[in-house]
Amino acid sequence: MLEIAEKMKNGTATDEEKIAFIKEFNRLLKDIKDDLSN
Amino acid sequence: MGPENKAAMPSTQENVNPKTTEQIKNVDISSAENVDNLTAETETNTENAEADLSPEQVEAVKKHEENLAELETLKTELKKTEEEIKSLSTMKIFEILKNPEKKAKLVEKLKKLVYYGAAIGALLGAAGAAAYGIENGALTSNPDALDHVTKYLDNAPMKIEDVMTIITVALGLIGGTMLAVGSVVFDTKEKIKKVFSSKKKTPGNINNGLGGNLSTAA
Repeated sequence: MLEIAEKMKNGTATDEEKIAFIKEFNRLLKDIKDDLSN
Repeated sequence: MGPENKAAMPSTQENVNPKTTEQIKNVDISSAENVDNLTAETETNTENAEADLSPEQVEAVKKHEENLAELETLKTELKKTEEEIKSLSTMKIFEILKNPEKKAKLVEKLKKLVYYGAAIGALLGAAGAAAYGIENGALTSNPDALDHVTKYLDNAPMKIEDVMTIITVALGLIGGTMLAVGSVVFDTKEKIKKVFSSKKKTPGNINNGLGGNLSTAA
């Protein structure tokens, strides 16, 4: 994911990579939400 | 409309130009053979519409459409996460963070979140990132956010403001991410249009065999 994050910053990420990144981002948010509620 | 006529109609009604009554009257469906011929003609014309694109172009459109579907799902999921985060109890969070192990675990995730935020900011472009306060890995609308994260590592006493900052940071990032998804959706739609505008053949309408036309435009 960090590699894709770098690509996004450089503007070289593909659509599929962007989608994978946003999915992972949402997963991390959910993870944090779980940590804050359990 | 009888079943014979329906069989000869294309499935994408929205792409069919309406026909005049006179044109419909002139369609000869007096025999099963004529209806079969009309159906075959329609099928051939539909194949021709697809054949207007190279196999690579057809594959590209398919891939873009799959991406669009995934992005729509992501929007819904992000919205759900946003609602879940909004419903968190501040006091409950405060209690949880009194546990040093839980707190340390959370800090690691928050650092990752802030780092990811910078990449999301890159998708938004300068103006969008500024609107959501995302810049260079820091959340400029919450200038103390990184300091707070560092404090957690140092086991500094947790204040209720720190908890509120965590929630604000998360919600701000979701807002930015929703906008980023919208931006990727826009780009993807533009790519589909581009594929259709660079078809092998001259753009035009395909006769559907009943005097109507199937539009081949995106």
